[in-house]
Amino acid sequence: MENKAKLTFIQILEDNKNRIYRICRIYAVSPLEPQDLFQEVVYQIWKSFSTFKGKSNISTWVYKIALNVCSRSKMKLEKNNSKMVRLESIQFLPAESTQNKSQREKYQALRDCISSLSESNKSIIILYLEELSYKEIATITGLTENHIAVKMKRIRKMLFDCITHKLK
Amino acid sequence: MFEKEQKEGWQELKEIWKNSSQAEKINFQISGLIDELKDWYKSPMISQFEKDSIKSNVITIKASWNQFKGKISQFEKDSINKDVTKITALVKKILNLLRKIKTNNRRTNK
Repeated sequence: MENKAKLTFIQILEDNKNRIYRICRIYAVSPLEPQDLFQEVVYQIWKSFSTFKGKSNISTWVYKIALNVCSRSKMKLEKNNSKMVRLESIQFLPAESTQNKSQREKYQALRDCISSLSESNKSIIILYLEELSYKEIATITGLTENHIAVKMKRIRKMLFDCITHKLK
Repeated sequence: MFEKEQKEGWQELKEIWKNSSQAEKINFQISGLIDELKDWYKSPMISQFEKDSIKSNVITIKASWNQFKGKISQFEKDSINKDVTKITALVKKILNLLRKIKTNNRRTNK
């Protein structure tokens, strides 16, 4: 990898690290940790970086990779039945959370309810929470904009009911 | 009224979602990341125990090598060379023998 490409790659990681990590937190199921998934996503970005043609927005491309890697992770884990090695070049340092107790409870309920959705619905709601437009969600998931709009109505209701029930 | 409540609820959820990545600070060590990714490609699923074990073995071998480095006599070097030559010749003989057997078998089958 040339120096210029290396810098672009690092810049992409820096710009998208929080987005990737949020997705990894949803899909991580024990014994896989969000950190394991995160480095797998980083690895896939690095692997596909040379083939990125710039036809789509970089963050759209990153979302696509992150969702693909994370949704396949469970299958991969079952197949290999082993834990991944942690890369030393990626450090995860505990930070002081800005969320209070009530927000943490709400996040937990949100996470549990998203996890209970089907793979397709899970991807759609994650992208919605990331504040992507229906058009962008359609590009990433390969569905039509209309289909997304119809699905969103149902998913939002399901999720809202689930969270309300959990927080009662 | 209900719709307004839902809208506010979703706005709050979006904020909670956005803040969920702040539980950990992620840093990249640029200099080593690419090399590590290249190595990781070869064996992404080995356990931390195996990795630590390999590291510890390399440290032990390096330490032992430093003790012997420069202290090996010419006699030892010559002796190792002789052994390697003998082993190579033996392997060649076995391979030739196997080839002959294979050729004979083909002729017999014809």
